[in-house]
Amino acid sequence: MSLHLWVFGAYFLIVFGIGWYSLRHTSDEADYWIAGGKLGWALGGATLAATHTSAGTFIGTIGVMYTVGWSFGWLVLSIPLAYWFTAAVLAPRFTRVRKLTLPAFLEARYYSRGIRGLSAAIILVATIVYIQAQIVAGGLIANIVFGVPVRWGMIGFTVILLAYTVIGGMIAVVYTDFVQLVIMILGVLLAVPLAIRQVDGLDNLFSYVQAVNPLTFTWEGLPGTLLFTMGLAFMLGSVATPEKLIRLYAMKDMSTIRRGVLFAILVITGVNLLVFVLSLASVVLFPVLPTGDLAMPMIARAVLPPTLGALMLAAITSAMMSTVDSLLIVAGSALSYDLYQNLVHPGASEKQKVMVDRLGILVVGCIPVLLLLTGVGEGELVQFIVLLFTALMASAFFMPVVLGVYWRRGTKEGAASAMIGGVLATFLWKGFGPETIDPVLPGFVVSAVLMVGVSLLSPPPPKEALESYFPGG
Amino acid sequence: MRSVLEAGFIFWGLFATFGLIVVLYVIWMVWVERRKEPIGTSGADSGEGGSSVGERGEDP
Repeated sequence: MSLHLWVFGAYFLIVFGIGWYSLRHTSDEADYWIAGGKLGWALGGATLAATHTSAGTFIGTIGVMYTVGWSFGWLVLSIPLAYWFTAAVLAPRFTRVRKLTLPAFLEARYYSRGIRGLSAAIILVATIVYIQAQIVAGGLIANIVFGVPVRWGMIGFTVILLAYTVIGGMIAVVYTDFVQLVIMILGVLLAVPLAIRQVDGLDNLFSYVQAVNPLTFTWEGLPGTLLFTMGLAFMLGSVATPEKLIRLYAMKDMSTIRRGVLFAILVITGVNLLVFVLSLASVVLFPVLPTGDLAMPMIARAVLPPTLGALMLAAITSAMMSTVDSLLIVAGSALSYDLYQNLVHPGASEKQKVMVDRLGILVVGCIPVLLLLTGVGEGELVQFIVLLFTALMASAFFMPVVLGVYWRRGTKEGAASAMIGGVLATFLWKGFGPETIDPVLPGFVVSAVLMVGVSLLSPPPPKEALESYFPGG
Repeated sequence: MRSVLEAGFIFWGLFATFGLIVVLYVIWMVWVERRKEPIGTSGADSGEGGSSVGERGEDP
């Protein structure tokens, strides 16, 4: 226990130190929300990778693979494809004008403050649900590491996260993401050889896995349609989630974005593949677990030597924190920058704005943990919550963003109906549709049909709305 | 025999496909950056957050 305390104590001290450093380097809203737009490829790629790699990877993915087998792993290939699409197709036009948030982009492209308010509200609600899933995972880890009740663990993680995110904003998030990514990479790189040795080598690992679960190396673990549509959800969501789009604004130019994205692809997919191998080891070592979500914490606690186990748990914690801090930035900006400052109090001074920004993050950080403490949002497998969030973001924003920079005829009416229709279709399918198809497919199709159909039926956008994104045309 | 081959493909094929995707990305990146293109100034900016990130003429 004392070793865990030392490792985690040192980790938290570094994180707080970065928060304090960032406070001194944040002078305006551009610093607070997009780190001044000056990130190089290493920091930009690292924050992209750390944000993408969440408790969903370390707890959720391993949980699903533990249950359904290796075929789920093929979904990871949707990530490099999605990031290539972002770097090659979307970013060159999306970043023509640097904004601070996704709703601010939508307002500029669709010449409507209402669109900005609507998108901010969708982001706010969906992000809070996603943060909840990550906080549940954090509570589980605190329970395993320190033996504290899960609820106290959830509160502790939230307090630590808020401490550095509120004071340091995006600059703090970027630097802590870098540190957290290094810890994650070290954790899995050191854990995989030890876990393989524990099961007497790779060949024996395959044999044992086949014996314990014969479906592991077949395509039968998940229905093909579900596998395909989950891959679509990962792919569309990797492009259209606001916390990733905003990082394009945080990097300084297109060359930096291309390199940063390559770095992110290598790290995200590499870490995922190593985690998948750990999931195979967990199938052999812990064939009967009450939930797959416990597989990774069990490896850290029962398989690895104490020092490495503590590092692995710190890696899982890093994954969770690096995602939640980015989501806090997105949700906080939606509340304070896009809703409050845009609709309620547009005339605030720069100092007041940064103060409201900090307050926004504090408020949205407290809501998920308060909901969890009252019993709302507990019980789902982490990875399925992650997938639902991804499906919601993809259904709401993929079409308005991508068509927004490629189709002059896209209108605010089309974008608004695409967002609302996409979200409703996703929810309805999740509630009443067959489980063999991920909700992203109906959500995306409805969003696309409404975007195109309603845009064609409504008056074309005014010329001034298109000048920034379609110059000369 | 078929099941052994299928299991091998399901496991190692994932790593091989990923490697191929990375190679293709690097080739694309080098190709894009070697194209001789004018680096232009930004389009209109609302002034909300600074300047353009993009490079004119780079759209696919």
